[in-house]
Amino acid sequence: MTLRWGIPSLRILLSLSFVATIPGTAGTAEKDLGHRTIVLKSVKIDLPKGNLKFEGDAPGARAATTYCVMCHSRGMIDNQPPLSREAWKTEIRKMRSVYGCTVSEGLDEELVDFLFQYNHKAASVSSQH
Amino acid sequence: MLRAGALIAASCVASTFTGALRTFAEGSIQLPFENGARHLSTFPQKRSLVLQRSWPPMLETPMSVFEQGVFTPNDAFYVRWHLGSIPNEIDVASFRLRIHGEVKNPLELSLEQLQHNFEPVQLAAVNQCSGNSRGFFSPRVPGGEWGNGAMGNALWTGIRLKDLLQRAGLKASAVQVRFNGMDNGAKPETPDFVKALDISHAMDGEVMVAYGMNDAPLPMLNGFPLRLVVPGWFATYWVKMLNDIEVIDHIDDNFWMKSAYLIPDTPEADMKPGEKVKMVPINRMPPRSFITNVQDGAKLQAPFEVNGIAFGGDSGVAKVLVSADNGAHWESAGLDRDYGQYSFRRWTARLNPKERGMNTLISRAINLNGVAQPMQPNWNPGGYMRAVVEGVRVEIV
Repeated sequence: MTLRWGIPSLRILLSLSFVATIPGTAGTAEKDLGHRTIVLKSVKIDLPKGNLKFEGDAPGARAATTYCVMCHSRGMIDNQPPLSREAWKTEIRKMRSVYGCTVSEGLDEELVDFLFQYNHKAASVSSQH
Repeated sequence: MLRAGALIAASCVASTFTGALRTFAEGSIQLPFENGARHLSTFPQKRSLVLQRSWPPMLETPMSVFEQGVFTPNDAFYVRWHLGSIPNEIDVASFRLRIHGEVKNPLELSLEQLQHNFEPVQLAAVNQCSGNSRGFFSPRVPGGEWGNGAMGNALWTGIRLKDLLQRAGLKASAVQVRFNGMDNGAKPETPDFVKALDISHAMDGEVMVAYGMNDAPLPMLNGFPLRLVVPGWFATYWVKMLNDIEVIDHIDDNFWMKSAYLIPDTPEADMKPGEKVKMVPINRMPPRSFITNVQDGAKLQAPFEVNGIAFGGDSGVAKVLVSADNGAHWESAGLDRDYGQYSFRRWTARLNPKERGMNTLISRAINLNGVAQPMQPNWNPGGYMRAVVEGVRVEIV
């Protein structure tokens, strides 16, 4: 009903022996599926890192550029809804205790101030990545 | 423009929006909630998608894609990664899937072996992010601020997880099966992204290890070369770049099962901010539906046709109801071809309302278990499992 089985077993055997006899095709696994064929080929892509910098020399901005973007690009912060200072404090604590962020607790106040102001400015203007 | 979005949202009383994406300028769109401006961006193997975050990538499918067919094209399929270290290269010859733990014969299988030594199966199924539509939560919650496009429907090709586990031979001590992909945290302290299913679920014959998506290999960003497919369940379990299956003798207590992706154990995963409720791992999807042929702000001359997509979540779509007056009167929609109970299903309705003027068009799906989309939105601190009836504001002339 929801599952479509049924690939002729003869075809599987044929394609299996075909692949097995040609060592040069080891990088390409091939399989007939009904009238379709799913051929898996090695893939390499380049992934962008996005924006990793917060402008400004305030200690909070420098901390954000040093720590927040170790694990994710700035867009994650840019796109947040307006959050309270408490919510930002919770995020920072979570990043430290769960994800292993090494920002010292001594920087929390400045980081919260920066993220709160940055977030509310972003939410009232536009979003940049 | 942000203000306009907020005003429109505020004017819509009982229902909300399909997330009709309005293009303001080439290369950017406005999701209809505060701070919803997003760029469009093209990633490898992908067409231009809504950029939620560059790294680790989070890309949203524009709603216009869902109007074009019941299956979501691979290059338009949304993307969501958690951890900062994602392989950018897969060598199909050396790739191995490991099956180990509480099994009699641990296995290391090449892609060739997986494709040739097991019976292939195909299944149409919706993959939806647990936090799809989080941007519509009120009050807002932190996280990936998605519109409604963190979902897609594909025809998955692969092998049954059950067949793999039987080949390995489960020991009597098996309790859960844990799935790990090739991604890792940018920092070693970050908990690895692993998810677990109960052994009975893993052995149900439906959960599959997929190497095909819409009759092609999976895009890298959707988990090439292998992805777990868990029909009817939220995408957090559909582990990408799957290369490690471990049968364990206990209930998994890693961070991603025990502390993340938790929902209140209440109907519709609904609670009040600050309320103390029991939290459980997110699991089955409820039904949803979206109008895809009418954009927010459209002028419609009655009679008119409304169509869209629906899915039943953990069971098929039984019925889609459509209303041109925000739920005062309903019409049954005709259901298009059925691709199986876990698939999107397209629907069409012809409406001839008598009322003229501004109104809200809404659609409501009911699944084969009798579960109907709620008329009021849910709320929980994770921003999970939104399934409320969605609508578009229109002027009927």
